[in-house]
Amino acid sequence: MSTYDLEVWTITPDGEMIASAGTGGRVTGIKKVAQRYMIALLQDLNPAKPKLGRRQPYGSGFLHTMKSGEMRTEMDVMSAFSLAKVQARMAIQDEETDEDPPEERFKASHLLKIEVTPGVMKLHIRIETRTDGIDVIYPIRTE
Amino acid sequence: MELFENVDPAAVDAAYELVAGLVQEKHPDLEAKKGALSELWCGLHAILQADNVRRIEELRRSLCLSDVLDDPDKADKKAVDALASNYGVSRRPPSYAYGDLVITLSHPFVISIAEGARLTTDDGLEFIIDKTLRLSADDLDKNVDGHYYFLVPVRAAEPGYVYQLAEDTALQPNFRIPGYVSCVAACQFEGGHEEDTNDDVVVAIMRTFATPGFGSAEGLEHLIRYSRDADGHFTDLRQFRIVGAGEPEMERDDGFGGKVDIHIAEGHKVQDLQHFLDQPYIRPLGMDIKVLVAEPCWVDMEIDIDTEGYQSEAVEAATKYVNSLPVGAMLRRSKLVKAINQVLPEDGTVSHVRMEAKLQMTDWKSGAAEIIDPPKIAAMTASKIDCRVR
Repeated sequence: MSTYDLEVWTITPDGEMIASAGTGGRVTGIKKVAQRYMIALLQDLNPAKPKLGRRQPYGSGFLHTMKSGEMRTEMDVMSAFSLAKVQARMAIQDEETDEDPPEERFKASHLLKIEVTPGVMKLHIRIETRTDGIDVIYPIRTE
Repeated sequence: MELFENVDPAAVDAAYELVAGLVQEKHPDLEAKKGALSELWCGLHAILQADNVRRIEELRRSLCLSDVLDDPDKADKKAVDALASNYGVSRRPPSYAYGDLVITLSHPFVISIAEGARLTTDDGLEFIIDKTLRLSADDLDKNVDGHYYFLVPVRAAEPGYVYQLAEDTALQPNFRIPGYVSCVAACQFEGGHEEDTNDDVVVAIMRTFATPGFGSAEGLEHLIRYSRDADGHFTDLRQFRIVGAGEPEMERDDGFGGKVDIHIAEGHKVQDLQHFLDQPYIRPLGMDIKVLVAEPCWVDMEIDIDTEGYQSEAVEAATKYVNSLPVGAMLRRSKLVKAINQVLPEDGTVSHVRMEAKLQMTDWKSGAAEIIDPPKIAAMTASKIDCRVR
């Protein structure tokens, strides 16, 4: 059964994910999956953290690597993302059940481009479900 | 520290299942078990809920005497203190051991030691000089072996029993002293102890409502502590240690009777002990009473020794006299030697010695209260020793 989730990020027409205005919006379909993916990607992977009914720890090591100062070049970012996307995928797919509709089941993610501007690093990520795909841009403040 | 580090993961999972299930049931088309709502609201709620449950359980355990005794470390200190206040019991704060050091010099130098100077034992225990010390060469005393020495009061750098140094324990100053030879504890250090644990506080609580009687350690303490309640005696005694009352220690320490240690709080008059010793049920029971004074308690004495001989004989006579005191009291040896040296003639012989000594009452046994009665002291003097209590 298709369900909706509360909107945390709004995806602008050009694909950029910006914080929701807090108006209680709803997201469905692939946007819901994109939101779940970003939560998993940006959440610190801490084995000690309660699993909230999941079988394995939830999150990825992406932000931890970034905060530790190990990302100095685009290659560093790509390297960190390569590991983090696997962790995020495992976290998301661990939550899914066979009853979830195909458009809400995560399939893969790809880092398309890294755009670095002073103070901000933008990750261009393609997120795919079993039936669809969406390109999003996630800005991360770096200072 | 993360919030979730203290909570039980199983409790978090249970709280999560409950809240997510309730939301899902109320709004079937809302995704409550994964995604933003699940992670950012249901998950946080579950962690906070589990933490609340943990705190409530901790508080409940802290207010239950048997639970605190089962696992004192899990009880909240403030809650145990609040519980103890209902019984007039308070947690004893930590305190620093203190005592005198005797520092020996090769020659009579001028000594100046700044406040805060530190000394260390071989075990790494640190002691601090609290007050700046300035001594001229004339202020130093000469020892029997020709060295010069002076006394300096110190306190432990940290609270704790371990800082109660034994007499003659060696220390090393962390500062320079001209002509330094040695530094040792002049006496048994006192007054150092850790803060009462939850266990200590609960045992103190239980003793306050134990049935007065001789059947148990708690009952015996209650009997003693509140025996003179109307007169205000003993109600503020800090700590009892009762050995006996059917416990294995009774056989170990004393083959034929129980023993009671009484620790007297600061400001409590030693004379009050007489009231306790006069209790009609104490003597017939053959109870051996040991009194430990929390703070140093001194009786100033003057001891005259008429003898024809050397200083060592005078010391021996004085020591014998002190040892013969029926109370088992302890005299600070360093002060005794100092007093003798002050009147020692140049040729090393003495015909008459007057000692100004302080008798430290820290280790009394049965009948100890009598020593504070000057007439009785005078009556105990030996033939060639005249002792007066000032």
